[in-house]
Amino acid sequence: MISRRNYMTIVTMMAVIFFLFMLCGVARDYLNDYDTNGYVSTDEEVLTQSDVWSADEAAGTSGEAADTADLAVYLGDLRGDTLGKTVQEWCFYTKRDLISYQSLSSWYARREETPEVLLLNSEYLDFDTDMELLLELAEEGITMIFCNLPDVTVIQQNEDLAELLGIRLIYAFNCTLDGVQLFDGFLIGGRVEYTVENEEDEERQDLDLEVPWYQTGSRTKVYMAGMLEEADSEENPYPALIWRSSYGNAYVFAVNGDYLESTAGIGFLSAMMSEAGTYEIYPVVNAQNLTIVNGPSLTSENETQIQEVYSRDSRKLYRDIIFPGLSAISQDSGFVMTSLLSVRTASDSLAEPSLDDLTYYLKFLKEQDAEVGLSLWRTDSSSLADAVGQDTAFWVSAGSSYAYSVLYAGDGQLSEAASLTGEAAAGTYLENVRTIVTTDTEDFYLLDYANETTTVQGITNDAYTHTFSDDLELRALETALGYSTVSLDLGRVLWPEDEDDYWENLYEDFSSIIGTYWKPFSDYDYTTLSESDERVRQFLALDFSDERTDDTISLTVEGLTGTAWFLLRTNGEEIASVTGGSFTEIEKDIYLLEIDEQNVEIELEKSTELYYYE
Amino acid sequence: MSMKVLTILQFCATLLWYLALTTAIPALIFHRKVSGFGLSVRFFFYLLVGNFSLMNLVFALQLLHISNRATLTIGTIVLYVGMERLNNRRDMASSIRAGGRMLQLYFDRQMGTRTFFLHIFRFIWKQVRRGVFFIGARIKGRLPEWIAFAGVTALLAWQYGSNLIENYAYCASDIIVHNYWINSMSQGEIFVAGVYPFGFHCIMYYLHAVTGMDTYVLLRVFYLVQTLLVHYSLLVFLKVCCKNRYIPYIGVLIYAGLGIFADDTRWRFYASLPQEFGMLFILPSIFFLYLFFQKKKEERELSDGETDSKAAAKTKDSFVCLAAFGISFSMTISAHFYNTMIAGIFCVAIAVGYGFRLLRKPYFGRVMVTGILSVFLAILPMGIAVAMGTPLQGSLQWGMNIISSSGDEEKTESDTSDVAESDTESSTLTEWESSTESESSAEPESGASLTEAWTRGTKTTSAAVSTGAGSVLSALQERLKRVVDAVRHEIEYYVLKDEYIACSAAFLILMAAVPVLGALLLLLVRWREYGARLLSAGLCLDMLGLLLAAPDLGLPSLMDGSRCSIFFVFISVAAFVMLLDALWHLLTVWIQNGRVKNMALLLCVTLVSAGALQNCLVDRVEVQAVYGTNGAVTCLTNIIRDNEDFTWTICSANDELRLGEDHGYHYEISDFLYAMEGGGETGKVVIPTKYVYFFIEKTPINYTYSDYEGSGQSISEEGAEQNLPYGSSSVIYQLENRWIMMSRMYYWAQAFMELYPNEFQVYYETEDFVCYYIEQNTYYLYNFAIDYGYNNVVT
Repeated sequence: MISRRNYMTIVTMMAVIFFLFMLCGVARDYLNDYDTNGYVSTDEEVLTQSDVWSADEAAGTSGEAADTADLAVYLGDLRGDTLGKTVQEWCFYTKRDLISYQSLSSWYARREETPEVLLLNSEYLDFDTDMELLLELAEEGITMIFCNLPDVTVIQQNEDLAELLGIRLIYAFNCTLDGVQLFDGFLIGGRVEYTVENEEDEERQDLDLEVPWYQTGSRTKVYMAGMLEEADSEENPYPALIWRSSYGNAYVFAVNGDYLESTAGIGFLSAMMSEAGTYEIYPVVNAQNLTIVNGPSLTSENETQIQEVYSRDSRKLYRDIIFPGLSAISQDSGFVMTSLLSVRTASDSLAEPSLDDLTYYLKFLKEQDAEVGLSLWRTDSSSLADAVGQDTAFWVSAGSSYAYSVLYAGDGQLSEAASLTGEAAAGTYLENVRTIVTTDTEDFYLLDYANETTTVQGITNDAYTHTFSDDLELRALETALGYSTVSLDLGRVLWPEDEDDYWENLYEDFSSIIGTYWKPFSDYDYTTLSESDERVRQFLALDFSDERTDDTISLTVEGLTGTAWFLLRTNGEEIASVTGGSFTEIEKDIYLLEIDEQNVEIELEKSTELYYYE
Repeated sequence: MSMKVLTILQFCATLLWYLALTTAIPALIFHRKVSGFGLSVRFFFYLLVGNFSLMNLVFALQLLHISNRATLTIGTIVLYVGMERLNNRRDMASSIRAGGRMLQLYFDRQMGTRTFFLHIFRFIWKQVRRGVFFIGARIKGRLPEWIAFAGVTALLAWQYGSNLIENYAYCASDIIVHNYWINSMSQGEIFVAGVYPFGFHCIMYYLHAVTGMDTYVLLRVFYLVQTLLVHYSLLVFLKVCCKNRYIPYIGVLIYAGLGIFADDTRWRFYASLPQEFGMLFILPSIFFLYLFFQKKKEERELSDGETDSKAAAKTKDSFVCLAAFGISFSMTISAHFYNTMIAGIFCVAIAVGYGFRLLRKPYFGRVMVTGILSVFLAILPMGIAVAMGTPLQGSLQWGMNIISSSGDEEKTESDTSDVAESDTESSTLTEWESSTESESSAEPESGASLTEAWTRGTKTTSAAVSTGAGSVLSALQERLKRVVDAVRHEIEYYVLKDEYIACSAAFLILMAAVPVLGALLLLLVRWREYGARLLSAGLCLDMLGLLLAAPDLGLPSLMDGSRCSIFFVFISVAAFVMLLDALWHLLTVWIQNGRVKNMALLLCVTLVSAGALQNCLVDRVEVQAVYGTNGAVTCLTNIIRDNEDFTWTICSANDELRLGEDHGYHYEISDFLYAMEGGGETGKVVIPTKYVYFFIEKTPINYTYSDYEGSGQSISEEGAEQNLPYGSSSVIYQLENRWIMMSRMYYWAQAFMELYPNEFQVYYETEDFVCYYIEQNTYYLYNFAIDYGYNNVVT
């Protein structure tokens, strides 16, 4: 028999415990300020397009530049070829003045200053007449980058060109590579081999494997090479794809392939410049984003198919399956989600969007430290303006005070999204949108302004696929910008076309991709898109100059309103100290600098100080 | 950390490891067995047992091809535990059992952690206290002697130790070969260049394998350990032989510091070499043989008149002495045959000196059996290797030839002996290396003329006898005079510095006086033990004199003069001190008070030492670093520390091939330059390691030559413009050739640095030396073949 006294004690304890548990839940609910976006800065003075750095003179056209220390000359057509866009974008990010000519002789005839680098599109070179001039420029010590190479027969017939490029032997006019290997110390992320080892790799292989087999001689350093069974590291070197040749007083870089004709080109160019001097310093964004686009939807849609596949409705699919999985991956990988929810994904949905769902997702995502943005995507590809019109009534009735600062724009929708945001959005529910995340960067740079107040952040990777060229591009962008945005499209889950679109398959791909390929870049910050937006604004606005005296690099940053990040690449030197900022070593000889002050002093020391001395 | 500090630490570690493994452990096992001897004799007994055990352990495991750290460690434990069991001593076993019990209690949780560690602490404290009391008691009892010992050690440290922190590179050309042989033992290949006395190599290999210290480090610092012990062996020998307690220290002071001896008699002590290691066993074998005769006699006297137990104890002492003599003599063979020759000569002299006792039954049989057994034990490993098909190493073949030669062949051989030995000792050993004995080949015509004189004298004498024109006595006198002249000449040439050649007469007097005085004391004064020792030492010295002068006397040259002179000085100092002791004893025999005697001696020694210092008679050998630079050793040490093993290659002139063999790869400068000669960029030189280091001497060393007319000149364009030298690798790195090679390498490095300023960097640089390095992409190697401006020159 239990005594009354004990009975009362037990009951009291149970009540206390019950109360405490309930209190936690109540407190969590009560204290959750889910209706505010903590990632949006309340600072009224926000950097805008007017603050963006621009070249001293008319960049992109023939003309003269004022600051010759950062002057790049492009031989080609800036507007007419893809290489031109890459070069232009790279100069924009690295704050280099750029002038372009379509013939070498015309630039040389009008040149007044010695450029830092000469970027050459071989299609615009006449090797019969320009060769002598190229050799003269090499003797002068001007760094040259052959963004592409002329036909192999041209090189075969022109010994001077082969000599300039450091080609010792044309082993084969054409060969089919087994794969491509990128060596460490060039792009961030270490050495990697892009070879097909299993069935999955076959789907990933999308690199151009048909190349001439150039064997480089002494004076050269190879950064990327093809892989072939019959080649080795000693007797019969692998086909060189990207390399550097020392000729005269200059470095001549050569690219055997079209690697510079995509966005990845900016990474290769930055890496080449860091190999051309004793050090290289340039600004980066320092932002790694994970964005969930086109979902969750606040309207019950495609219920029949969802019920058939998942045995539950779409609401439960999101709540019970998708978001718990995303939450786990987010915590494991370190990524912070930015979820761009849709009021509806089909224009003809009969069901009404649920206000409760909105509240639920806002609370849930707040607890996950995630950010919420907007998506206007529709399955029938209706215009964004129509979608806005359709959704306005819901937002008015919702009365949400959450600052939705991120908007998603799909392929071909960026211009329309630009027209709906910024000043044009005043008084609408899009008035808080500050940044547009998009896959559509054809008419814009990867990081750019869509209008005076709204930035563009390009999506760099798809969460469900990661081909070899995706990986190469990721490494290149991390090298050049310290930036990536992974897009996970929930529209595919809600509107599956085949079994590949089932969540269990997509989740498997996504989890392995996100947990594998971003590991080398874990020293960069994981951000939401609003945080990233602030960094992009600062990145685009700042200008800088640097000067080295003995072991000290003096960095002067203009247009600094908060914190900015730079990448310093050295050659065999380590940072001893930094005043005006701090640093993190990402890889050997690669440092991420966090700059808080306008004037920064970086002291370097030789990395091979001997432990034992005489 | 400074290399000097590191070197001192390495020396201390080597000394401690060596003494711990060869002395401390045997001391734990045998200290009661030899408690009847003095501390110094006991020390050498332990040392002999330790060295003998480890040497033969290594031989056994190497011949079975199972030698590695684990087997060596287990073998050592088994060996010493076995010895302890055989020695019927229970102390260690009971200690181990007690320890085991305590551990069991601890793990059974019957003893708390605090109590457990308290027990351990108390045990350690007890041992430390015992040790301190033990040492304190010995110091307290003989403080002046310990002060003298400290003084002698300080002198040795100054004489030989300072070089340790001045020159990091090897100081003898042979060491690199021994380095190679020891490295091969690490790969399970003993006698890699043929069968050779490997005692020294076994000990070095053992220390390397068990302690993990690099072989090149051991070879750099071990010379000081062995040199100290060689001098201590002289000290102990003299302490056994002399009546006065302090006179032996004079011997070591003379041997270590007196500046009248030629540098050649000392410089080998600056190098870790088998011969000098073997010297450690010469005098112990002798003094243990002396002690055997003494103890055996006491044993016999005791067995006649005293109780059985005392006699049994003494029997053990004589057995201990005989065993120590045997293993010591055995190790002279294991270390280097030259040491056996000296020990053998001394044994012959002892046979004469102690003839009155040796020929008696209780002595003769035991000594003979011990001698034969010791030779057998030493030769056994080599015999097994020969039986397994390993040929004799070059220098041994030469020795066999000498022994098997006779008559005219011997004379012919003797004429060329110096050259022959040079060839075997260096070129055969090293394949590429020139010998250091080049000076011996420059030994002069005066030697030849003396030989001729000797031959003429023989003929003349023969003619005189045959014609009956002169008496036998005058012929003998003439021959004796020529012998004396020959010995004197060799002493002047090999033993003394030029400015002190007048002292050669003193040596001749010494050679005559010691045996004569010994014989007198033996026969007239009836100091039989004392006289016999003096007589045998004197006779040994005389025979060494003859050995030294053998080529001049037309006898087979069993040993190169420069080598023989080392032993001659060693024994002559011992003989001189023994003579001094005898004279002192005779002169002060009327003084009864020992303290007064000692004070008088101390006064004399102080006066003589002051005189020696005032007249600059104390001198230090200036050893030139002609086999490597300090920079190269500093770099190598850092490279080994900084990088994973076998991820790097050193491109240098030869020596680093063996120094870093356990850690990385090596590329010859000559191969490097030849590969791009004439071809420039069309050539191909790839080195397949992640890191490549280039050692370049800006002022090339005089490799194997102490001096030549171009000595000390820096690398220059003029040097680079010369044709690349070709030939055997010893030649291409010597004299002017080295200057050309280094000049070429330097200008190659400058040209390469222009092409790769970020990648090709200076790793270390001094006024005389520079080391460049480059980190490679091992998947796409650099081609080092470039046109550096001198490789396409046709002259």
